[in-house]
Formats: sequence, structure tokens, C-alpha cells
Amino acid sequence: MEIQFNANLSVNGLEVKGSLNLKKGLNILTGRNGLGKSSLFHFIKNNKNEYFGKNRLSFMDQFPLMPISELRVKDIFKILKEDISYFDEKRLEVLISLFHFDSLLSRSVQLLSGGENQILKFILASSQKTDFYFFDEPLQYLDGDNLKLIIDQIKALASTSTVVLIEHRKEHLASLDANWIEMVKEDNAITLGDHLGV
Amino acid sequence: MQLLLEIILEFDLLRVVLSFLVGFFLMMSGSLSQIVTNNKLASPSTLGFDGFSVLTILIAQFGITLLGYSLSLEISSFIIFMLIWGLVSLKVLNQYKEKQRVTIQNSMQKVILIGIGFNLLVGAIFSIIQFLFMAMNMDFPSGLWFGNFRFVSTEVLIVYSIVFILLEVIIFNLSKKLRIIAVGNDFAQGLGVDVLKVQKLALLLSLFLTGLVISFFGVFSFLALIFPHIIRMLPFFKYNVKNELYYGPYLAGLFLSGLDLVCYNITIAGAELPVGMVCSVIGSFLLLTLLIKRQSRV
Repeated sequence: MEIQFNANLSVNGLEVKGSLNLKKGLNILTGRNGLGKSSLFHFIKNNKNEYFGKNRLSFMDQFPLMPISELRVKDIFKILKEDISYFDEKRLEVLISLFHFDSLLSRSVQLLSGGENQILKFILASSQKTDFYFFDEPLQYLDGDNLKLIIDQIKALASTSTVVLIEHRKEHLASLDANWIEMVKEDNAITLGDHLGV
Repeated sequence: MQLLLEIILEFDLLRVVLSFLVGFFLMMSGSLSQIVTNNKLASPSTLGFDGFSVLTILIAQFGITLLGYSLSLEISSFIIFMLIWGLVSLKVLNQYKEKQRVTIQNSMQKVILIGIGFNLLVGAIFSIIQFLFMAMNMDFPSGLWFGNFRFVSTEVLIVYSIVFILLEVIIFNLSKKLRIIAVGNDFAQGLGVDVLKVQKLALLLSLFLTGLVISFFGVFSFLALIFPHIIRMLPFFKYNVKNELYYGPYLAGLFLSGLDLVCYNITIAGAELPVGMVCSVIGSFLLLTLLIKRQSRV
């Protein structure tokens, strides 16, 4: 799938040129800090009907999940189970067990550590049955064991769907079979294009 | 028991219902603004909605004093409020059609600071105008700073009842989206909720409810900020946003109505205690106590 932005997207006053060429499987978006990779995800999120039609999209954001009240982990799962028709409850159970989240179900989301919050966001995004998964820096804050588990889950998702990843920690991803896309600043524009390698 | 019964029977039923509805509206107004902005400090007081509404009363008072028309201050200010609110709504909802969208969340702190600044500005204007009115020996609605239910009428009850029914329908339709937004704005957007649209509708609704209360009964400072926080300390509301939206306003209504019953029976030098003032004192004290208690448990 190729997404042409047609000058609709600009980051910090710089127009984003080129196209986002997504292939089935794993796609990794790289580029220096501040070039607008997360903004690109937000743009896609806000205009998904225009670019993705009826395809379902799932997003994991970069920033921690911070509900207004003291919602517990299980309250958020309940909201998704009741309100989202394409939520995969079986997969949720598997992920809760895999990441040992059983003991955290009654904890307020506000009291989760950075790593726990990161895993929660990952569980929420990957428990949705969608055609495209967008993960914004899913490996930040994670210890070695959880980092490996998440990479394994991303690989599993990429075997059946299109996964787009923003990640700076390339050393953990170098061995993966992926379509690398780079965002670079050129003169007065930001260009998207195929990456030459890790 | 006999005395309590006598007090209740003597009490004006119209006043009981209207004070209940004011508590209901204020809680809903605070809850909506906090949920859609994902900010615990958001409320009509901090977003400048109080100031906006007070300004319409000042304009109405000017109209009455200078033009000498016969409409009451309450009705005049409500009409002026509705006209300005309608224009603001048209402007805000038209902006939504722009292609490039950003969520309000990112600029929320700025909005709250502007809101507080606006409230301060209105307070300053209020003082200047009050001084001028007093210097010219003219009537001035200084009592509007202290919310109270001394002047209730069947007409107001009809307006409030219609709003109450419409509000229940709107909240029923929005509750699913609001529940998801309560988890986080970015998260909700990822699930396909048009967050900006819901934010705008909810904030316009919150502004409307604030104006509706202030036009007829004056300012109940920070009540809309405090109510949701106190309600969320009860487990039934703490873990369930739907319960907060569906049942929280009823509890707030009962609280305000009960407190008004007490204030009605207490007079100082012949003057009835303004329930808005008492409620703000009790509410803020209760909130501080609960927050400090909870902090010490963590």
C-alpha cells in the first residue's frame, strides 16, 4: 500500500514529501528525533478513512496512558470488551498471561511503572483484530525479558498483518526481515523513502 | 423528627427541585469538561465559562439600567447568554470542518491559563462597574457572586426540566465515546472516536450549563470542579466513567438540595446564608481532607 500525502502534511513548517510505501509484514520507520515520525502516525490516525478506507487500524502511542480517574487495568479491558466490536478477548487473555499482567489487573493505571504502562499499551493495541498495526517506540522503558517478548509478538503480528513500527533502538531489530523506511530532512522539506539498510 | 418534618414541609418544593437540578447541571458540566480534556483541573471556573456567563449578566444589567426595558435581569442575561453562546457554537463547530485537525489536549494547559486569566479579567471589570454603579447610586447585581435559590419560579423550572431531559438523551448517546475518551484522547482517536468533535460538543454543553445556572442563580464558585473529584472518591464512580456520567449528577443534585435546605433555615442578621458560598467552603475543605488522607495512604 502506498500513501501519497499530496502536500497535506507538514511538520514544524516543513512539508513532508515522498510517499509511505507499506508492505505486508513488518515496516520500520526510522529517522532523527523531531522529524515528525509520531506526527505522521497522528496524521494517519486523524485521516484514516481517507487513506485506508474500510481497513481497520490499531495504534500504540508513544506517551504513557493516563486516564482522568483512577481507572484500573481491568476497567480499561472492560471498556474495550464492551465497546469495541473487533476486540479479541482470547488474544487479550493470552497476552495478560504472557506478560504476567494477572497481578496488575486491580492496579490503578496511574500507578503503573513506565515499563508496565508500555506493556499495557502494547496489549491494548495488539488485542484488536485489525489489518494494520502502528507501534510508536514500543520498546522504550522495557527490561530485557519484556523487550524480547514484545519483539516476538510483533513478529507474530507481522506474519498475518501489516505492522508499522517507529523505533530508534535498531540493534534489537537488525536481524528482522523488514521493510525499512527512512525520514530525512532535505533542504526545506522532509522526505520519506526506502532505507538503504540498517 | 417532628421539627425536621416541619422544616421540610415548610420548605418550598420548587426550590428543592431547582437546587437539585443546579447541582445536577454543575456536576455534569465539570465532569464533561474534565473527561474530554483529560485534565483534572478543567472546570467552568478554570476554563473561563464562569467569567463568560457573568459578563452576560453585566451586559444585561447595563441594558436594564440604560435602556430601561422591563424584562427581569435573569431572563435578560439568559437571552444575551444564549445569543453569544449560539454565535460561539457556530464559530467553533465550523472550525471543525477544516481538514487539518489537532486535538485540544495538547494546548489544554494554555486554554486553562487563558480561562483563569479571563475569569480574573471579568472579576476586575465587575469591580470597576460595581464601583461606577455605586457612585451613580444605581442597582447592581453584586449578589450574583454568591449562588443562591431565593428567587425561584415555575418558568425557570420548565426551562430547566426541558434541558434536563435533553441532557439525559445527549449523555446517553455520547457515553460510549466519553468512556473511551476517559482512557486517553490519543487512545480514543486510535479507536476511531472523533475526539475533537466530542470535545467541542462537550465543552459547548458545559458552557451552556454554566450559563444556564449563573443567569438564574449566580455563581457557585469551583463547585463544578470539586463535585467530580469528590464523587470519584467513591468506589462506585471511581472505576466507572459511565456511572459518573449517569448517576454522579443525581448525587451532586441531592447534595446541593440538602445543603440548601440547611442554609434556608440559617440566617445571619436576617440574611439567608448563600448556599453557593457554603457549598464551596464545605466542598473545598472536604476535597482537601480526602486528598490529604489518600496521599498519606499511598
